[in-house]
Amino acid sequence: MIGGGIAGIQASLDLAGLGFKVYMVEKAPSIGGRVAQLHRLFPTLEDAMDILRPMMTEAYMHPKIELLTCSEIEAVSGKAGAFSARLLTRARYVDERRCTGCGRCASNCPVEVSNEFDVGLSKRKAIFIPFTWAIPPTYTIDGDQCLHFKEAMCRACERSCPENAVNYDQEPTEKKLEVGAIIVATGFDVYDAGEEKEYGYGVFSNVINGLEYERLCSPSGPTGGEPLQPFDRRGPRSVAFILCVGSRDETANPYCCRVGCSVALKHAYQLKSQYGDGAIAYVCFTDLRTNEKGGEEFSKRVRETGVKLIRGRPSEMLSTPDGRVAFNVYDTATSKLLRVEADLVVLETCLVQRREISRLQKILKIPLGSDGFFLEKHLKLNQAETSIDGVFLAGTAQGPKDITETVLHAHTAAMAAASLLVDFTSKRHEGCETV
Amino acid sequence: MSKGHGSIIDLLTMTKPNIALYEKLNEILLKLQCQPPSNCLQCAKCTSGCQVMRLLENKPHEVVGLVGLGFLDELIRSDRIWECALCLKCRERCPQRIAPTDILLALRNLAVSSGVQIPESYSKMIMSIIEHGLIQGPQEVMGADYRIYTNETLGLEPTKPRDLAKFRSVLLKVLEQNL
Repeated sequence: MIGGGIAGIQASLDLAGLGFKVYMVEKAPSIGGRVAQLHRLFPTLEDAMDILRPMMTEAYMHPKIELLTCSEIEAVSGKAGAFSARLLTRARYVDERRCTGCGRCASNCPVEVSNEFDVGLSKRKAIFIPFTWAIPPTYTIDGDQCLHFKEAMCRACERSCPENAVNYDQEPTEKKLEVGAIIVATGFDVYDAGEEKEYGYGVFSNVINGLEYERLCSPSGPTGGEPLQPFDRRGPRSVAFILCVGSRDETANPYCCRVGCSVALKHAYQLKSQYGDGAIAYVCFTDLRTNEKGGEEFSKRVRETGVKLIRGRPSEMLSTPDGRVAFNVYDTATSKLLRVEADLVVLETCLVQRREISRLQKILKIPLGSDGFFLEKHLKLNQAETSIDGVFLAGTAQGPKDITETVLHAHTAAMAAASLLVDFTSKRHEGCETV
Repeated sequence: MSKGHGSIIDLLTMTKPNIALYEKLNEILLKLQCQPPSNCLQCAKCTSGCQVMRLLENKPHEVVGLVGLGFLDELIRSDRIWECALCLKCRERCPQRIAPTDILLALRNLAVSSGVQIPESYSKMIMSIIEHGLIQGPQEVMGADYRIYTNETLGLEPTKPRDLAKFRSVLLKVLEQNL
């Protein structure tokens, strides 16, 4: 299993439940993936961690699942039923068996760097745990930032650890895995909104993307769940959500991101339920596509809260003298050119293929579709299979999906992999091992 | 595509799509390498940013929509197609790589070749070009210091085509061919 996000975890649990041994390879220090970064989920508004945490714990405790965090696949050889994969595990410099996750090391660490889990909106230490419910609950030293490695001087974390878990001499390890099937569940990246120069992302501090807004909404995020705190001023505040940034766009990604509409409605709904009349939410859309189960009902609920829906895309963002963002948008529903001033503009950006995917793509040789995502064998009949026998896809590695679909796709991938594995195991029992 | 236009009628004006003109327009757009109007999502990003929209209520996304349905007669007879300032913002920012500017230029061409009277300001410009070789002769400008500036006081070279007579004869020849 390559990837420890919700797709990787679900497919692993399925396969382990059937009795197959699963190696779950995760690049990051913790499993959890994108869903761990989210706050609430549409259309039910349940807490993302409420569904993810039990899954992560189950995968961690499962005797048939071996978690391999801080790890990446370096090479793969063989064929369906008999793959051999070379795995490289980066040094954590912390002993997983000893670390209790008490956090004394981090509070004594003098180095502060940008926190990738909060998409750079907060700081973390050079020795860190990605988030509160990280699995494994082990601290990790960021070798690129730690003073001990950069200047060979600091040993603050080692001194403060009551369990002697810090080990600066840990080396990266290589491991060979013999597996019958490979499932690619590498997930997605967020489109760089800075590419749409006219929207001023990266220029105006109050133009952010949807994932950043998600972190600002999260109680575990940098503002403790107060999305407007960094942009605070007196009086009613307003947030504009701009849809289809980098999606349905021939100059960026021609495809629909398939979650942006629902995500924007969820964001607007949360804003209204948190601040009531103290905040105004504008949603600028092209088409409102909320076609998942319960989506239309949710959309109605959102409209009832007084969220202002504007049918049109703005052309450019401007900064006002008092530091707000102003833009013009033509509303095709009312035939009016509207001037909107907002304290915060949230660009609901497209889902794109992982930027560093070419490395894995070269190793596994799965063809990519025109959208850049991994290409399935057949769109309708074999969505989780690839043209390479024994290599399967789960979740957004195959294309943009919401969580509902991602989990379904993971089940499909597990089923496809299981039937292949059963096939090979039974052949082996019959004594015809040649492939 | 052309056959599909036949059965609709605009009930406000009781007009039908002009198929012949639509096909002519598509030929021009093909030459200009402009994406067809059928690609338009009606997101109105063009209109949101249109510089002329604020002054004259020109709506590029409506023009693209009307062209897509084939309602070209009203467009080539309207002043709207002559209002575009050709700032190219819509063309730069269209998520579907459609160029409303190019469509408007094509419509202007169609209007002229269909014998529609072009706005007076345009005929004045043509006359000015024939007379001085410029759309507009050099102007006097008042600065913030209330002084009058001209090309000469600023030490700028006079802006005129090098050979006005030759330029004029070529231009007249083009006009003759098209009229």
